[in-house]
Amino acid sequence: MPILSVRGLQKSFGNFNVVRDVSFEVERGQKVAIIGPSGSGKTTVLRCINFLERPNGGVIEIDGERFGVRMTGGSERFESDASLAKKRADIGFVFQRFNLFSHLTALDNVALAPRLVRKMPREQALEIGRRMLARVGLSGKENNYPDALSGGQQQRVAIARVLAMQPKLILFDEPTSALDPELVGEVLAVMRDLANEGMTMLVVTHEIRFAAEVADRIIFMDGGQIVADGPPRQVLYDQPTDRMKQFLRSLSSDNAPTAGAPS
Amino acid sequence: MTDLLARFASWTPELITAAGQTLYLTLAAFAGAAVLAIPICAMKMSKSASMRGFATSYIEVARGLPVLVILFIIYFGLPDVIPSFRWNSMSCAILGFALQGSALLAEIYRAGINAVERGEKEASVALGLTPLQALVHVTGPQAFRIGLPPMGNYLVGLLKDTSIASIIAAPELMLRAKDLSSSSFMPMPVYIYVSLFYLILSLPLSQLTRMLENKRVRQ
Repeated sequence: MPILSVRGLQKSFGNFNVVRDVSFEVERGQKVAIIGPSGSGKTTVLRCINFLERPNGGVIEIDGERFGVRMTGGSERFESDASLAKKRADIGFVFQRFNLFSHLTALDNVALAPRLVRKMPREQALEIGRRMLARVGLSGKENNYPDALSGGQQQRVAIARVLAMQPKLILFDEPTSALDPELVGEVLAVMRDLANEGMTMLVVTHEIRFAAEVADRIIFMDGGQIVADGPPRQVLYDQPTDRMKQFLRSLSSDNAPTAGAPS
Repeated sequence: MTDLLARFASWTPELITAAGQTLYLTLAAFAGAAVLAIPICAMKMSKSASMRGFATSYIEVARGLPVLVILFIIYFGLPDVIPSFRWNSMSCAILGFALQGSALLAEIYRAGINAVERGEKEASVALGLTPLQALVHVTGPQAFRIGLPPMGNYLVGLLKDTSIASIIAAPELMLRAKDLSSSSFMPMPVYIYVSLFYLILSLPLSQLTRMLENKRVRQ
């Protein structure tokens, strides 16, 4: 059974259909990258998966269980906040702008949700927090507030914060797009480690080279629809659509994949 | 000159007692307003349109009225309608200032909550915090910090405004000053002296507010 199943997803803002009939599945342990031009609906798809945005239509299933909608007496109703919260706890979400809690130290940022959501004793939550910070290479930064950390460090804290909840799946929303170029590498390195450890990841990204190297599958979106979905080599090189060629050309040369690089 | 100093000395004990009453009135009204503002702010931010409507009307009415009118309604109006209502002038003044203050503080709370980064609220939601947990652990503490300076300004303003309670004969500084002025026939020295009492009370408060403001900017 796929860990994530998206079927017929629809989302519009006003009259503008941002996502039109998107369907795909992610298997346990799979790393899937979603790429595509700005405004193609990639981020909205991600945000609909854990109901940060309410879809206008379609079905989201996590581990075979319907997400965000409950059937009562034959009619569909949105889940209550409390019931949604419980399910969201199992899905990590890494934001483009990190969104660390600015009034908490790095360690408290990581330990907060295990304490409140998993009801862990404080000491145990802090222990997990320290371990997760170490895992993203930030031992020694436990007591720093977010504004005393670089963008790359903040994003790594945000990843540690997600890992502390032992998620089934992590959604990454352009995790390196808000970073200075020299800080992108440290975040990608952490993500690469996660991928090697077998974490299930769905990554919206503009880092095509990273996607080509790390992802099992690339989904190419354009105009709110999936245009291509397959192994990186196939999507990027073997059968690129005209739109894909145009998209790849539009990327800066140092980010564009070098021919034949992906395995 | 020595005669004047002797007069000041003779007024002092009475004014110190009255200053205590002014401080009591200020702090009691502030505490009442701070608590009352919580449900009003909650209603103002509620999903229900009727709750929001009620809160909006409350806030607009409470802010739109001169506090003296509110005090007169409570002190003179209520006993007229409800004969069993027998609050003294001090309690009426506390209630009146608290009612008006709750509208101001509710708006300060709301502004603080709205000023917290949307992204941080989203992050707490995405981590599985319930709306209440997010409010208590993420939005609330930050909103409080953002709201401290305006709350301090309100407190200083309130301290000065309590002088209005002298009109319903609440035994605070201004009422005592009026008494002393008419018994001594020395309005200028009395009011200058009482000004000093107000400054002694208000300057530390505004100093404290400024400190909190600086602390926030540094953060």
